[in-house]
Amino acid sequence: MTCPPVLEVANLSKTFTLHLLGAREIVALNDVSFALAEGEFLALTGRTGAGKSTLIKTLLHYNRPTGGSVRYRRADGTVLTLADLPVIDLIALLEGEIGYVSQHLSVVPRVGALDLMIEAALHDDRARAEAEALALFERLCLPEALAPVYPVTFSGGEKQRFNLGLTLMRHPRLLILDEPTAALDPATREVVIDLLADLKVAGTSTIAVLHDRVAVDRLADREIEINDGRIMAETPICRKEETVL
Amino acid sequence: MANPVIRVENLSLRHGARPCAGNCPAMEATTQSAVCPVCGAVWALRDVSFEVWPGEIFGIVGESGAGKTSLIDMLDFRAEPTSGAIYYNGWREGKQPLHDASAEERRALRNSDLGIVYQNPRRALMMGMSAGGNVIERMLAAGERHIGRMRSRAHGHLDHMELGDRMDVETMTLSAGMRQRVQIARALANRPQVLLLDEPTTGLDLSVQARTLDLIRKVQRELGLTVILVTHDWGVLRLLARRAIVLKAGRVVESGMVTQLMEDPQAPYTQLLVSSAL
Amino acid sequence: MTERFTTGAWDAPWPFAYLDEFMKASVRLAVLRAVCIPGYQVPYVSEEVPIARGYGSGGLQVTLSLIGPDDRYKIIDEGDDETVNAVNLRRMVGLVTGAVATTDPERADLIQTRHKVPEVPLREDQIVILQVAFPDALRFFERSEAVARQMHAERDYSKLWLRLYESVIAHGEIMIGGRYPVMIEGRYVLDPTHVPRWDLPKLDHSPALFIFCAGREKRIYAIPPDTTVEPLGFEDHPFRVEDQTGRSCRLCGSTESFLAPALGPDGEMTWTCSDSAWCRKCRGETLEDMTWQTL
Repeated sequence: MTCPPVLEVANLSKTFTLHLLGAREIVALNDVSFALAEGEFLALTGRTGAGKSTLIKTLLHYNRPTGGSVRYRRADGTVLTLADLPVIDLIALLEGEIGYVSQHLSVVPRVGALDLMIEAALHDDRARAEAEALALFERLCLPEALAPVYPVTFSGGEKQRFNLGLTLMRHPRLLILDEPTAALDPATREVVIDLLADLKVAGTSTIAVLHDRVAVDRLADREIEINDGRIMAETPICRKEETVL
Repeated sequence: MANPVIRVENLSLRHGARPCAGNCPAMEATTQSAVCPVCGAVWALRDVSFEVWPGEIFGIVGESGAGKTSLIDMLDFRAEPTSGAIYYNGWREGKQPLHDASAEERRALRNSDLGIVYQNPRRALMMGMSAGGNVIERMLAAGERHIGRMRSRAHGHLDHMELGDRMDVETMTLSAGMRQRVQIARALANRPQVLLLDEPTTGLDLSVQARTLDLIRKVQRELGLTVILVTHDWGVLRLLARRAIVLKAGRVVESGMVTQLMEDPQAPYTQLLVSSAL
Repeated sequence: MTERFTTGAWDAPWPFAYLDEFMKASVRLAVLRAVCIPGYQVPYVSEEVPIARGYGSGGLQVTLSLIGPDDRYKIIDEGDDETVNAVNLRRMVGLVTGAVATTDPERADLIQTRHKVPEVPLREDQIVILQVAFPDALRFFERSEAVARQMHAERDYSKLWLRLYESVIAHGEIMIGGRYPVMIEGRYVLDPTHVPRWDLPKLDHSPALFIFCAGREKRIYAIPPDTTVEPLGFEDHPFRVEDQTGRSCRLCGSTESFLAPALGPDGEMTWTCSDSAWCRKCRGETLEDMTWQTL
């Protein structure tokens, strides 16, 4: 591909220093480098505790890297080095163009699901945001009866899909997902996979931590296997075109 | 990008009867204590710097005694900085230290630009007056003299806080959560630029706390307020704020995104605080 | 050495007007200061006089400090010359000065009063001395004297307006009966004691000098002649005097003076002039002078 990558991770390292345990050091990431092409779907795989979530949080700078750099290329071609951004700009970036969906839903209590989604929209047009939110509800197979309900009371699978919907309200260019299909039954999983496939067709670049083989095979262009905070293997995934369509 | 609303530069506050000359040089040797080993003066704050941007909720975290209230006291003009300065972009375009303001200018700033919500509502509210009266007092202080207009505005603010029907009820008879919301309505009476929240939900039971936080968040979004939130509660911080500093013994030990502070606390003190959260 | 004062009847064991010259000078100095800063409460040394604190000791000190042997004085209590307190104070001032007392406010040079301003228009050669129990209008809200002074200095009077607001909310209009706050020349808010709202317009641009003195609280404040006195009020609920429509004095039939409620001969509610001199004049009676011998 001649197009420059949307995200470039170079020699990323993270060492945690646990001061409460006599300054014990834990190396969580060790010299991780990869690049994500525009519109590419990258799957991160590996055993539990291998460092996949740490990698995601570190490349988003939720964990401050101890070494290496992360560079993000905006739609207009400017390249931002995340570590050099003022915190206020980094926050704007992470709540706008880059969408992160964590494993756990964390929202303001006592606000209805639909209202939360409307608030998440980046524009002020309430009617439009409501229409978009309802469309996402339908797309994610969330029953419409749940719209006014507080998400704290949702089931695990509902929470997970709602969390994804919340991020999609902002139409991110780069989507970073932490196990988006973990708590879902096979049928609902298909719904999420279909949605992600559609986003990919629409040009969204994605990095996803996936355990689920089916999802990897259906979605990923490339698979990176992480173990012990390092890249163990990098495999392009070849599949017949009709599988995608 | 716009200018910060509030810029705090190397702010220090010292309490002590006979402090050493030259701002206690012995303090440089330690970061663990707020007490000067030579003269015994207490540095409630030492070299604190941060910026607050328009429309953001900025958190200040720390245990009791970390210097949070001293910081609020200085923003509220109840204490004078020993050294350093606060700049506010609504006064002299943020080019002159805020504490250069005269007594009259300070009163005007406190009336129109700054709204404060204290941990203890008794500090701000007159318990013998009605809830509406407590809100209206701020408007009276700003020179408004029309009861009809003031009442409709006060009703709007109390309604925001879901207390529209308690306007003429004596404040004494309201519950703790309601009093706290009356206090917020009072702080908002003159449409301030900056809202200062000092432990706004500490001591309230969980459901009342959730409701109060939600109302604060709603009103902040609607009015585009800049908020400084002082708290020791990580849950409150995570829900409301995006950026925060951590204070210990009067110093900033760590600053950054709230997510960073919680996911990856780096200073030993922050790690202790985060791991102590419920 | 202060000269002994002789009334003619006996050699009195006190100086003229009872107080020694130093004490009188210090009270006069405080009065001068109070006149210079209209509405500002001037602290002064309040010495003992032979009446108890709370019975008009402050008013008596000012009267005794200002009175001369040829002055005519009048002392009233809630407008009445004949209440126990007024009679006793009048007797005492007569005994220690030999000055002539009068019940006619138009002939009086000095009028000491509690809770009432005489109804007749006052002149520029007259001084009205009001007895004060609580000198500070902010005392309702602020217990600390230091903080209250700071509030006066910063013109921080919003809580006084709040008191009026709460009254409007409770009664539909401002129903404060006494201690109604008034703004002096747009600067200090002054507590005009328990005079009825009826009397407040008479303070505005009055040619006479008003001196307020609280003996127990040791404060003197004043409204100099021709000073703007503005009772606080709201744009949509302005200051109003007591509504007396349909009432008239049972004794003289007057409707132009402040009427106080009283029980009539048959136990029914009636109204009489609060200012007894006004009432008697309306009825054609002569208002008499009294020397110390006839008191």
